[in-house]
Amino acid sequence: MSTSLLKCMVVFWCISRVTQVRHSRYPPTFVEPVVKKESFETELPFDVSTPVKAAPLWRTSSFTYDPLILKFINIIQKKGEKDLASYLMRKTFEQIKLRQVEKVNTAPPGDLPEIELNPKKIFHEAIENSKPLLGLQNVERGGRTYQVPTPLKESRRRFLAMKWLIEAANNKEPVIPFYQKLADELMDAYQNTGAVVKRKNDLHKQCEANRAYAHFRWW
Amino acid sequence: MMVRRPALEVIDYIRQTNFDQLAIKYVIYGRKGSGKTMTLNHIIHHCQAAGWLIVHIPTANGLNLKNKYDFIDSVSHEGMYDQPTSSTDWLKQFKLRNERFLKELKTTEKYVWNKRESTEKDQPLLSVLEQGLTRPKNATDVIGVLLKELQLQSYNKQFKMLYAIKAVNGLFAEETAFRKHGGYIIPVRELTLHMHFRNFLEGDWINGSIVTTVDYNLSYRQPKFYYTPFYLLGKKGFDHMDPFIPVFVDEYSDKEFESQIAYYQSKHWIQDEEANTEAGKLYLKKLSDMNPAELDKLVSWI
Amino acid sequence: MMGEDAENFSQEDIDRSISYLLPSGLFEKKARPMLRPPKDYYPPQKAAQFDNDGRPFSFLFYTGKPNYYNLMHEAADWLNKVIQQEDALIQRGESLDGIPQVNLARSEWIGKLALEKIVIEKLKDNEYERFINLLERILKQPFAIEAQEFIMKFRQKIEAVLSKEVIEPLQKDENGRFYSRGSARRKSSNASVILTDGGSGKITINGEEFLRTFYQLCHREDILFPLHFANMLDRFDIECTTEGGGPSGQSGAIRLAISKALRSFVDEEFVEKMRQAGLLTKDPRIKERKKPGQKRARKKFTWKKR
Repeated sequence: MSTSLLKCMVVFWCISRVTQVRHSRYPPTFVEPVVKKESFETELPFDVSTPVKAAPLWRTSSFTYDPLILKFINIIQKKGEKDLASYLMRKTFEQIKLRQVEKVNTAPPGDLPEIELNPKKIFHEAIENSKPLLGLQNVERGGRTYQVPTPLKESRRRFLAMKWLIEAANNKEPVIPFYQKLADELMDAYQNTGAVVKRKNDLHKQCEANRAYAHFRWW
Repeated sequence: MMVRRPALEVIDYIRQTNFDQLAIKYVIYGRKGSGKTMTLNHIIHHCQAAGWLIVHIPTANGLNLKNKYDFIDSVSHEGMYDQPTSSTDWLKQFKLRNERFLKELKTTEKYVWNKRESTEKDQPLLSVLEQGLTRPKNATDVIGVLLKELQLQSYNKQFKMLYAIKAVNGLFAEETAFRKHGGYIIPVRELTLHMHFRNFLEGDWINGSIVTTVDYNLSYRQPKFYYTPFYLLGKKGFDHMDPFIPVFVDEYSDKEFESQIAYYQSKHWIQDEEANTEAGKLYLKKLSDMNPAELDKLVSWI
Repeated sequence: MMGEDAENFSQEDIDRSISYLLPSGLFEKKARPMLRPPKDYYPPQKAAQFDNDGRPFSFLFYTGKPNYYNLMHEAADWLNKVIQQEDALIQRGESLDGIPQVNLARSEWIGKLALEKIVIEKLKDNEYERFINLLERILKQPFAIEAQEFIMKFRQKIEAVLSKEVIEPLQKDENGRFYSRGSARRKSSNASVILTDGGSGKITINGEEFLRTFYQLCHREDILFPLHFANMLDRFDIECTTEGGGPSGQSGAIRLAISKALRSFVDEEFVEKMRQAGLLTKDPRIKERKKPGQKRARKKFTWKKR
């Protein structure tokens, strides 16, 4: 009891890296929980003595939990309106499904296995196809700013893909509902066509063109 | 789509009614998302397929809320207000549905619209309707005239009529969203369109049925969650509607839930593999709490 | 009184009765109160740092914290030793496989206060951090096992998180059904829950229906999470009462309360699984306080250039 009390006191006094995590109400020893049931089949993910954080909202063991979709909802949302953002996401999925089911119903019998009906799979594919491999970074040398091609972290790539999709959807006609435009963009990206994939390819071409400056990179 | 027990019950009663008696009122009530409007739509579809004349208000609650700048001083009723755009829209829909009846039925008296226009006696009702479409200012009066004529002519037993209203508690509400310059809020009792619909609702006609729903969705300034007719209609509305047959639409039973899921699966609407297992179905059951609308929303994700 | 002769009460009788009535061990050496040795009461003091001439014993005296820096030197020596061993191995041309590793399971670094006690000096945060980082650096080397004895002085054992938790046994209500209770808090809400076995999965919150109280999907999923994790969605009838806060706080409180009540129905292994899924930890996150000089917790006032 006394050691834990001391630990609590240390947590609230100290601001060093070893004793306190910045802006977190949890001490640094706490780990993120593992919610999927499959992870518990063979052996426990953590040791019995490792303290575990509480699972936040939206993260459950059910099949409706997908971290990529949650990330996307967070990027769509503005001013903290999570409800509206998740509604738009739901409508987008509905639109994608409607279109695919329509295709299935109107197609001649031979085409059936080629049409993907699962909106989550289409969403994942679309994000994968829109992720850029390299980005450009401004480096100043001798008064001139050069665009240097640089590898990107996975989180940055994912974020850029999502942001470009939403921007492309926002740039269309304002009369059409947002979710329809977003569904268009996702379908296009799934088929490797459309504005977002074009933007990615243009970026890649520029990186290729600026290959000479790659040696300016020190990171 | 699944036709559930309340709809089948009402259709059965309608088939068995004695059409020499005054029109019987049915009030369909239930929680939000439990399927009241679907029941109403099934009944309308049945009557339309049987060749009835359908007088349909898509949502009486919406009349208080939507198009809130759409009002003018009434032409024929002093101190009240007409709604030209809403009336013309309604007339268009009415015409699409019931054109053949309107061609056959004739007016019983002369109606003078303004200095230059009038409709003579024994003209087809279609011309009255056209008058409303060409002159939006008279549209609400045209509706009143049409409903009055239909009421009188129901005694001739030439046609059967169904009066279907969704969210009839809108006709008996207190306030609307309409505000005049200066801030005066127009109450429901000063709107002519509502007055015409209410008079028709009194049921002084035979050879037909009145089927309504009560809904707190889109209701203006009514607290949510109370779904019983007595609460939503208010004292005035209840007295107006009394006597009526209440029809309760409950949420899904186990069997209905299974059949709805099977329907979704047959239409390729549920794509997730885990949702198709027994455990997944149970999870959907508990999440949606057997509510039809909620299940629909859930299933659009997966 | 007590069978004694009151009139012929001599001095001997008085002595005898006193020793009977008031058996006093106060005069006995063995009956004296046992105090702990003084070092348990008084904080440890440093030994003399300098001799009569004023010359300090330790070369680190003028650092101000000789014991701490001594420790740092010792740790640095160990680090060098361990690195030397690795270098020797590489020079010999042998591989680095098969070297036993230090077992750090179920232990964590001692806190700053504990280190202060060892060193008998007040330490700053960054000094503590520096020491721990040095020890961690030793641990990263392949031959860290050589320094294990030294390092283990600064590690304390931690127990299983659930070892002190008491799970209440099941009780029977008047209908003969087993039930258990749980109560919890989150943010500014509190909830108390009764799980009754042999039910159909019905959930009632403050007497209201489940769907009406929690309009948003995420809150309903949150509440069903522990039941779904345990595959017991349709086994219990749940009555909840909540107070305070908004839907997120209430649903989090209900979830924790259900998890706590569920422990009684489930074996210990599964309770550990629930803990690792994050179901049994109280969420400590609360609304961040407003700071002076700022508009809200994070938002600043408008920046004016002049």
